[in-house]
Amino acid sequence: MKRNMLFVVCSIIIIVLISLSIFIVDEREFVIITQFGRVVRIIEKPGLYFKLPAFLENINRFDKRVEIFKTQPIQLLLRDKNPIILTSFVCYKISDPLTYFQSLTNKDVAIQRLSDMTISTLGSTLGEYTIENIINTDAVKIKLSEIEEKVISVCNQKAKSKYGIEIISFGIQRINYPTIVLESVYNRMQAERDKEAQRYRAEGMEEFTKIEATAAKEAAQIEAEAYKKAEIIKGEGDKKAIEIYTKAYSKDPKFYEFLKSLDVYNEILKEKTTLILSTESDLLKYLNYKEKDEK
Amino acid sequence: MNIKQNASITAVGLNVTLTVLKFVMYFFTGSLAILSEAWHSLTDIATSTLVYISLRTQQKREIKTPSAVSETKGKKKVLRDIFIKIKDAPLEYKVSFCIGILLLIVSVTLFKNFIYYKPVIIQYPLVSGIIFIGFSFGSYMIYKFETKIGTSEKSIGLISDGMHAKADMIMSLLIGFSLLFYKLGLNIDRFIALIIVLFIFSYAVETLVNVIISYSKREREYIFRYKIIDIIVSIFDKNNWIKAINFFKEHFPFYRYLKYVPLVLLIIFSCTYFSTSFYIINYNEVGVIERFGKPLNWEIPVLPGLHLKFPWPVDKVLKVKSSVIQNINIGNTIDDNVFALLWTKEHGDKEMFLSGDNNILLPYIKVHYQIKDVFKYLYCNKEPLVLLESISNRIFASIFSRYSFDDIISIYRGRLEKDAMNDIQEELDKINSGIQIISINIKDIHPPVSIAGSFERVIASYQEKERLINFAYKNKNKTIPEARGNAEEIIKNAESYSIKKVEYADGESKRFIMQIPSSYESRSINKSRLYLDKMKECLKDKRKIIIDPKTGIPEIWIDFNKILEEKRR
Repeated sequence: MKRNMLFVVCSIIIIVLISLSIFIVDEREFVIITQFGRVVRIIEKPGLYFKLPAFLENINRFDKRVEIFKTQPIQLLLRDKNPIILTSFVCYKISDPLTYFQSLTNKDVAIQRLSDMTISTLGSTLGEYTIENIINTDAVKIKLSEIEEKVISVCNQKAKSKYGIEIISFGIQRINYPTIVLESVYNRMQAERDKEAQRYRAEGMEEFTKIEATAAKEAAQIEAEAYKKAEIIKGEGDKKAIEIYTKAYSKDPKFYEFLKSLDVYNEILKEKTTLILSTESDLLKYLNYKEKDEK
Repeated sequence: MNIKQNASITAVGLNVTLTVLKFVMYFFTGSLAILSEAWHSLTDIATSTLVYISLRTQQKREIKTPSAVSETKGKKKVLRDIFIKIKDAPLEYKVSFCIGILLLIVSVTLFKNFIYYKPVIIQYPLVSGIIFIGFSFGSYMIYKFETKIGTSEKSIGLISDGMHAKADMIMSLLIGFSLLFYKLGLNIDRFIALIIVLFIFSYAVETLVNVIISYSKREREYIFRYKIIDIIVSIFDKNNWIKAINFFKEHFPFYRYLKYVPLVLLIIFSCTYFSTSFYIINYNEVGVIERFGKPLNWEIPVLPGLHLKFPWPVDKVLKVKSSVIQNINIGNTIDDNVFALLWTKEHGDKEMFLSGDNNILLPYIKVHYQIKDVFKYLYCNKEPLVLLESISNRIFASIFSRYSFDDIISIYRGRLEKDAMNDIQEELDKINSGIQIISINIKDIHPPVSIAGSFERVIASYQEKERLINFAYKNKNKTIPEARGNAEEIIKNAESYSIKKVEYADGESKRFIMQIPSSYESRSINKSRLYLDKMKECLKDKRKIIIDPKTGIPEIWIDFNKILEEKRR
């Protein structure tokens, strides 16, 4: 019975010891084994590993994957003294676990240091640019990605060698103005809109007048052309009529003159006309008719 | 009524006041610790009441000896005995048993609150902190008062109730200070609540154990004879266990099957353990198997279905919902309670972006995505979703800063979605996120609400412009056809004139030609005839003065004036 108990106790102790000295390294992590603070091993490949049990060797796990964090929004001055609030994010990964472990210890410290570094670099880099390089409808002048690349390269120089960190990506994710500037931006936007509205209204009047005038002009033109055409038509008619008359009358002009004169007399001698006629005229010559005249 | 009863009733009154005040304060502050403390005070009332009842009953009667227990063994008999015992028990035992159960429920409920703790903003921490320190003085007074009476009258109940009030004082002090700490920025509300919950729990156990034991030992003043510490210690006492086992052996005949319990437990345990080697991948998931942390199936994930693996410490399965299209919001989130998405009405939070022409816009964008590469998704980035959000924000910020506001809200909007999608995908691939953007949906983009009105006025004046233009065209559509009609009329008139002219001429000339006499004789005759006909026509009806020149000068003078006058008339 007692022997049995001993066996059980021993096996329990052995199991506990084994469980304390076995550990699994994930695909996602680096492990640094320390022995009373001294770094003994760095494990970069996943799998099952052994170590001295419990406190004799300690496991320090670090994430191998790309870590991302956002910096707090920060107000910076540009070269043209424009203030601007930028929020950015940083993607980094541990490139040298040992340096990282020694210089930064853990993720929180790393994020704090990196955030300090990127923000100060961003501040000094922005000093070389104007607002035109950040916000512009002319895409060629925008230098956002250039700024981001500069920050990455400057920070990486320090980060890689001193902190064991490699910055994969740095991006400006929000561009904003300070509140006071925002107020004036609002006012400006409003003024711009009012201007625009006024322009539309004026343009409307302009178009209206233009169209009206054009229409009037076209109408006048149409009528004038018609008048011209009408005159020509009339003239042609006249001309033809004259030709016809001439052709006919020239056959016997004397007779025409005689006929026409008769017509004219008829026309001009209206009702109230008083005529003084001589009996010697051809018409009245028969009033004093004598046979002797008939010869 | 003796002095002991007076003291206990005073304690009850004070505790009631304190409890009501504490519940009122919870209502104002919302602190979990205060809620727990209020419940705790409620237990104090119960305690004080019990002390009072026990003091009264002690006066009135002795505890009845329970009816004789029958000697026959058997399960049914035992249960009946217990039932009879309970039925015959004095009132205070029943009451305190119920209180014990109630306290147990309260402590469990509060413990649940503690686990699912949602940080709340505590109102008026400074004032309520000071009030609680005041309460602690109240509790201190109760403690002093009860111990004094208790020692002078030698009442165990009063003394222990006094001790309880002392514990109360410590609780109130703790809460008071925790609230003051909260004011200073240190939130230990949850921790204090836990302490109080444990306190209530221990009190509940204490009450229950004391009720049972003191009843079975037939003691009169039973309350708080056994402290919680004694109870905990007794659990580890070997003799108690032996007693319990013997009790079971006597009363429950199925004790002999007890030796199979370890075997059954072992079987259950191993079944549970080996069942972890089966795993199910759902219809919309894929899985990755890790053996000792190393992914087994690089490049090809495990497809839906039932699969086998080594049990727990060896193999681990990671499931990813890869075929589900998920979405994240960029910029503002639409408040779904808003009836319609109008520019002039607030319908989300206020995330602003800047456009290339320095305008402020508030976009509402939904990015739909899918997990394209499970391995990259799991092993390359720690927080792929934060990455997706940050990158999307960055791309939108840079796209917006390149275009003018008017373009963004109108002509460029469709193309913007496509451009943003390409850019975001490019960045995501560069950083090996394993995420595939399915679509980008710009639900709404609007200017700040305060100036949305002037944007709408622009549109209104644009409409006004269009209206004017249309009106002008309407007028034009009237004048031009009219002019054309007039023109046609003029021309037709001219043509008719011309035709008339020509035809007249033709007719007249033809008539003339026909009138021309063919020979000389006929000419003179016809001429005379025509002349005379015409003269007849001409001179008919007209005033005529005929003068014969041979007769010399006429005798009449022509009065022209008269003639003209006549004519005028």
